[in-house]
Amino acid sequence: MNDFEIMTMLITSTFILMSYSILYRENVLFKLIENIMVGATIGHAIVMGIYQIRDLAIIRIIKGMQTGDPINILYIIPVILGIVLYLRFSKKYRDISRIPLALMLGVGLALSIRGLIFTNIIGQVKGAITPLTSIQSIIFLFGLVCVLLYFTYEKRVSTIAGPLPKIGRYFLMLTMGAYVAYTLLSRISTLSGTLNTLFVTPAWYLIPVAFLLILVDLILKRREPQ
Amino acid sequence: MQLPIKIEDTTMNFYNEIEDLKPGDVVVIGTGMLSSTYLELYPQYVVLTEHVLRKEGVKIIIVSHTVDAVIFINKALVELKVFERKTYGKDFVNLGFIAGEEAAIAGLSKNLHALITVDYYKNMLSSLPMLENINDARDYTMVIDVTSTSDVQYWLNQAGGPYGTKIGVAASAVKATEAASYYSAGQIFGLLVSLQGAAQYEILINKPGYAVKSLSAQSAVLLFYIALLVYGNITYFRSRRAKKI
Repeated sequence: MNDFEIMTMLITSTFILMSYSILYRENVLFKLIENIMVGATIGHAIVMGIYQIRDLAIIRIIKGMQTGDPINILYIIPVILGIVLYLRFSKKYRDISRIPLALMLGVGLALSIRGLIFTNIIGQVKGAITPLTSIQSIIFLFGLVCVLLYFTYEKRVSTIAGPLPKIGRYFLMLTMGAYVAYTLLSRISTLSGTLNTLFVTPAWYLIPVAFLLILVDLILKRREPQ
Repeated sequence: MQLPIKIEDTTMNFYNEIEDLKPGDVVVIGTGMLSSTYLELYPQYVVLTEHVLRKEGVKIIIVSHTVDAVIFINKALVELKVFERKTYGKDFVNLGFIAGEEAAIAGLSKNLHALITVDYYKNMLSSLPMLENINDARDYTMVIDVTSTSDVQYWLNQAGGPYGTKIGVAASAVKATEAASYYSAGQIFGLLVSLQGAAQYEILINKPGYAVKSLSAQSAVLLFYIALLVYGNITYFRSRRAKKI
């Protein structure tokens, strides 16, 4: 391990310990790391955004001006629309900023709807129509019918369906449980990953330092007049 | 102590599809990795890229759907020594981050060259021989999406549905439940779930690494958590009974 790698490891571990210090109580170090994280993320996003404008539009516009290609020159329109978005900060011209916003929403919706029909309607219906050859497929179909009945609010249907809508509710609860369990799994993966970073030499040397700081803080707090 | 790791069908199908790749096939490896999901997704990204790299003659297009992912892609390229193993522009290209979420994926699926003119390293796409005959989703043999965002939906909407491109997903645990419905409907060919998916894949390609090592610790923590849940419930019911008496 070279000096740079050791330094990187120590800085990373310090940041991790600073983040975990919230478990003790809210403190300056936690606030500091919180701000560093937000600042670094936004800073990186801004730089990437500038690169995107350059690569997707500016290069094309310059190329278009050099060659006289009208299609490339037209890329000036999205750049202008992007600038117009910032007019929302002006009281006088705020309404104009709605034009690019509406355009963005419209294009986004149009793109989604085109694909959603294939993916979430046709694809899912095709997937649901499977031969009932296994217990899994039978349970799947039964669950599907029950959940659909649960969301059918027609009174006559509810009367005929009997207990099925209630069973559908249990299926939904099972699904929610799976979601929660997966979320827990996700968080534990993150925790084990961070601990892996911490429990490596020389990073773990910082752990006793952190505990020492907490101890000092506790002593100082006790000495404070009530 | 290493706990046994069972290979699930979702992982096995993923492995088999990549194993069946032939020289000349084009694989798009997209990722919507975030800093918050890096620890779950990075092992998946590395292990899947490694497997594709082992397939001789397969062309790889790397693309990032989030700004964070660019950093992790570069890390993976260094870790896997991709520049030493493959020729840039001939065997693989890195398109970097393309803003626009679904619109960007729609562009990648409809006309790659109309969407962007330069790659991540500022090379003109027209100067990269690999991309000469690659234009849209019909030219992609498969798309591998390593993600914790909504890219799966976008790839299915823009490539899987309209062009029939095969899509495999490696997802974070939270996103896996959504992706599982696409897997059971046959819309995606494989699904890797979080760290355990990466661990299973590491075993399949015979390269046990970070995920395999971490999985035992994760399983131990989960068992501890279950024990706490059981203990909490027993205590709760006992206290309720005591109140009744």
